[in-house]
Amino acid sequence: MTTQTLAVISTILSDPNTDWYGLELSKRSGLKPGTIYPILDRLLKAGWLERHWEDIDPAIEGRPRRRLYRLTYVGAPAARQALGEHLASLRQAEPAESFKPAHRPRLA
Amino acid sequence: MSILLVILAFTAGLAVTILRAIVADEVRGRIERRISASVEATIASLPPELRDEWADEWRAETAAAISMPVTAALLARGLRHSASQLKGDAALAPTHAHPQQHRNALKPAPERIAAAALRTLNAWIRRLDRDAIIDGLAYGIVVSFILVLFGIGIVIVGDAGVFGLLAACILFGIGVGVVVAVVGVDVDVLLVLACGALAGSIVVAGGGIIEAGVLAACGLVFATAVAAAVAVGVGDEDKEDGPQVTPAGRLRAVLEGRGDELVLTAEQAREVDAMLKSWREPPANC
Repeated sequence: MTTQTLAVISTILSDPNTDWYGLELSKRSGLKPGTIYPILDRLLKAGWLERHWEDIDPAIEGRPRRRLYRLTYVGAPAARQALGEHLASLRQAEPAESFKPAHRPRLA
Repeated sequence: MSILLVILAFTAGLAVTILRAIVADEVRGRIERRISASVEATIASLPPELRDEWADEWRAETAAAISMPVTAALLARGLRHSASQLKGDAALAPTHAHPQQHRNALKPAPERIAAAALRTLNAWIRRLDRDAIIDGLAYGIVVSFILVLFGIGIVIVGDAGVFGLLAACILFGIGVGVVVAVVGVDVDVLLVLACGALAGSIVVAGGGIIEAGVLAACGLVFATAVAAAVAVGVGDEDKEDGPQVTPAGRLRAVLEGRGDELVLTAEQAREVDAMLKSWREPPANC
């Protein structure tokens, strides 16, 4: 799983009961809009996300309805597990990172 | 007399306010129309099944963001990139939906790339990402450089008249040439920058209050033109797939989430092969 996908999952998990729309997810996760839709597409196809149209009257709100995304019953625990595993792997990597040679060899 | 002056000032102020509002609305309208056209072109470029799936959502997102031109322009660019990635995913979808079937069915047309080659490719992409960041920084530095040249040109022209103007023109010529050659940014944007700066220098050469007023107007037009050019991405529509659809972007679209083994079409494999060769074999002039 890519770090970008993890960023999207992390954002959604920050408030799993909220419905998110694409542009907001892009802003909150710090990803470009161009990155977000293919990730959403893959998560939809994997069954981790479901989507539905916003329940508003466009005439009253003055804007078109947005398509909203939320984690499925399958996706929520799987996303937590994936994020947890990623964080655990990062924690394991920390001791190795703390070891640094006094003089780093110059790259050719 | 003083009443007449007050009335005159009030009328002039009102006229300027109305004119400014009209011009601002006109510019905003043009930018919005251009962004909408860009998004529609992106949607039209999608295959029918993807169009059905994403068109309404992208139109809704664009409509919600259209009142913020910069955000909307970035979204339009992003959607072009998304369209490219989604098309790439769709082309590979049957392969990954049934990998075992594919393994038997598609020999020998696709070529396989093993995990070791994938790691090499990922390293190459990371390097390209780093280069893109450096390019972005270089662009910012170059724009600053042009603005500094503009300032130098004004100072020279103010002191030395026609010769100063000539010097300013030469400086700008060199600046624009260097930028085009080294960074390769859109020539249209540079032309806007150079023309605005040159107009400013010419006006300053005349001196006087009227010229100063015209200079201010030129500065306003210059700043607006640059902001609009950056916001809507001047020249992007001339490119086939938009500026973000680089070889690295295409490669990333293919690689993302593919696991340890990657299956490519013959054409993609040739493209990747060419990229790897160009990476491993530095140009002769290096």
